[in-house]
Amino acid sequence: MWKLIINNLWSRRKRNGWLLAELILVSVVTWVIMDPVVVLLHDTSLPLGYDADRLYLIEMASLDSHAQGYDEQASDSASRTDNFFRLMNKIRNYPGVESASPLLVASYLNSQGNSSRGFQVDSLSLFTRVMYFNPGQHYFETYGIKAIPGSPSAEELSKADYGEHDIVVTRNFAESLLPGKQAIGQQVFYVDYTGDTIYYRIAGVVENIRAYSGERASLVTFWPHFRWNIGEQTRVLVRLKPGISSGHFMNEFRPWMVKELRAGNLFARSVISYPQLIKNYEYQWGTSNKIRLNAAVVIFFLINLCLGVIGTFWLQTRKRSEEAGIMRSFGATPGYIMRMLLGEGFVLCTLAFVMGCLGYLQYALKEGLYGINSFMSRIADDDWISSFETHFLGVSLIVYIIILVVVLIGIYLPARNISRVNPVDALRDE
Amino acid sequence: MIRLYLKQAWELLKQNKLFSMLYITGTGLAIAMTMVVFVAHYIKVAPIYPETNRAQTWVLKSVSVQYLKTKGNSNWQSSYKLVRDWWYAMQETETVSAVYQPWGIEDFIQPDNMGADIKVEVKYTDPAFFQIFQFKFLDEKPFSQADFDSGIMNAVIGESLARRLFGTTDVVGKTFNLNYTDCRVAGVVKDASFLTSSSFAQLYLPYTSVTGYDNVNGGNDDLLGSYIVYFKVKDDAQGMALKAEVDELVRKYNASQEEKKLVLLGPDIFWKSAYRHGNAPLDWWELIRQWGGLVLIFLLVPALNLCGMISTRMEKRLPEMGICKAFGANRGRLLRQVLTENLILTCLGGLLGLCLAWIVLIAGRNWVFTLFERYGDSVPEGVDTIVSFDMLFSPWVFMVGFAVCLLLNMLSALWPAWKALRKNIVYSLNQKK
Repeated sequence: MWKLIINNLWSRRKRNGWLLAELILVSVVTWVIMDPVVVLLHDTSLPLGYDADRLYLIEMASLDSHAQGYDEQASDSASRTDNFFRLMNKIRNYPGVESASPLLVASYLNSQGNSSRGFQVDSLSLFTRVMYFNPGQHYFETYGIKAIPGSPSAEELSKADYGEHDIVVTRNFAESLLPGKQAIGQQVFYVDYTGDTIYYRIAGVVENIRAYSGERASLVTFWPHFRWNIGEQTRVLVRLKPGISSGHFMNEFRPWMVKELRAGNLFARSVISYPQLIKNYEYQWGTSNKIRLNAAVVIFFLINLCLGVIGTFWLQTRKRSEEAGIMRSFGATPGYIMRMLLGEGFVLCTLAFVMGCLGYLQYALKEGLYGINSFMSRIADDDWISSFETHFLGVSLIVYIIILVVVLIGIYLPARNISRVNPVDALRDE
Repeated sequence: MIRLYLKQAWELLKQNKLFSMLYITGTGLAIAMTMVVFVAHYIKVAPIYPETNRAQTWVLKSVSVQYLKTKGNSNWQSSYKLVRDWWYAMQETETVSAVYQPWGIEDFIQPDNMGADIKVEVKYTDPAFFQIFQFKFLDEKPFSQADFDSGIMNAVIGESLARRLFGTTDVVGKTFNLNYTDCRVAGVVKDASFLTSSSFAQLYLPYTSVTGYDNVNGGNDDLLGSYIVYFKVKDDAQGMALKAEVDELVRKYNASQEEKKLVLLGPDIFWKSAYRHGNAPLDWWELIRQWGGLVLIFLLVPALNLCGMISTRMEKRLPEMGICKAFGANRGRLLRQVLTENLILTCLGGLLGLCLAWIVLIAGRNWVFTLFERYGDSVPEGVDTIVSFDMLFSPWVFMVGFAVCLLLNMLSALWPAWKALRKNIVYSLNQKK
């Protein structure tokens, strides 16, 4: 059958040439467009390393000095802190709340702002994301960050007695900078802009986390923050008890928050669930748009390809029906004819795909495949996306399957008519 | 002659329903995709309410200061000092307006019913803003120069926000709470669309009402701040003169400085500024490669499709062409005939594509346009993106739609038709069984 398929294709090489050219072009274009989609979908589906379900973020604000109800007496730092603790207590005592933790620096998981620092051990140097937490405020357990075996637990890490230069790090940080060593108690350092070397002691190690959606698990260091700078950048992280529905909580909590969460000049402005916060982050940094735009463009090309295949095969229906009639009269079954026509599509598609892929490979070898442009992602992950070979083969396979399915659908529709032809009708003109 | 072609094309269209359907759908899809991209860009640069003066508007966004000793640099926008002492005093311009956009400040309205705060988009600006951007006032007028000078919270409000807050647009003189401060409505305007981002806001207030509007920001350089500046000029010549005046000011300033150097990327005419990101110079090649490449691929793939179909059809029509040739028709005439017939199909596809594009743009107005931005700027809560008549039905849209049809037709029909018409008469006539 394969010989016949190849003979058929060759004898119609002029017509099939256009289709082949289109297939090659679509293969390359689909490759270029699908690569970021595959990488981004892969990366956004990786485990977060913390528990974003039942997690909420409350944004606080304080009245401007010329706002109504502004209390001059409550504007000093001590009053602000007192008022903030009053609000924290109210939140912690709200029905359904399991724990709550203040976030006083705008560098938290999926925050708009961010902070980073390069750390060194001996000659090894790596960049890390920096997160800040106030000790004694249930930070780690509220986020649902897990400590690795051998490290103090999340609860212990939240309330430990930290020195100014103690930090908590993620597993990948410990493994990258201190391979094969027990990281707890070890020192790492960085050189600040004046040239001074500052040493930090590792007080705990937690599991890897994806600090920002769209990034893979970057190296993260958690720094104790001892100041109570209550102001515009004040947020409260809230975890609900298991079994509380999000919709129910938001419906009840929002009106309560507007009415009750105010003390002095401080008030709660808004509350957002963490999954929504992550979605907003992905949208803002273009991840969602890139996936949507690329998906729309791929669908456009695939519809075109499908139309092209249907057109090419359907317009040959009459001629092919005569052939099919002869084959039927010699005992071929409709199934055989259908398989033969689909086989033509398969050969054409595979040939075009191999040519397209080889072409694209030349480009990829020179320019590299799609990767996230973050200086944080230099750590070699051991997943298939990070290695050139498996990345190329994986995406190629996905593209091949998509194109093959589209081509076979395109052929199936006219092929059904051709294969079911009655030999007598088809051969009437012969 | 054209009438004959049209008649014949119509007959062929009816005879080969499948071919026509595939052809029109393929073309329609290609044109729809191209037109979506075109309209998204058209909205960025064309004169659209209230930014109808875009051709006469020059914009200064990015300001950089280079520190000669440390070789470092800081980048931001104009400071209040630059706005007050330099830009308001420019000679080669009709009107100057500054918009204050401090980083990280969000504005909320506190509704009377004690519900949750409503987040609103506010533009802090000056009265000249309403001379540059031609808002239609439904009631009263902009806040006055006196309001501006004394920093009074007299606001111009968009009609949809007025309806949301008060249930009517007849709201001049009414007050509401913005960030817990009393705010009085001075005028009501027809809403600007979220897509015309320079003028879009739900509320317009004098920037002098913001505490710290005249601060040197965060102790940084006194040239850098949060102001975007718009200049309205008479014509291109005055625009160039304005640029020269600005350059001269900068040159004089830099000549007097030993430690630092002021670098302005602008002012740019509006359409150029729409494509400039931050302080990076415009990379035309990158833009052309990105968008031109996309449009080319949008057209090339369907063109290959259509090429295949047309070449199959030309084979079927060879006997007909042979007869025409036998009666004296030359190749050029037959080529014109085939191209015209195909153009009719392409134009029908174009019409379908245009309708499809309009449907996509209207139905997906809250997200389609943001697809083309590098970073998603989401439509604020409670705001419905306005897609107006002048955005979708401009003559430019039709002209470009037709040009794309012509291009697609040439790309897809010329080569197969030319190849088929090269066959000699005897061969052509022999194809008839």
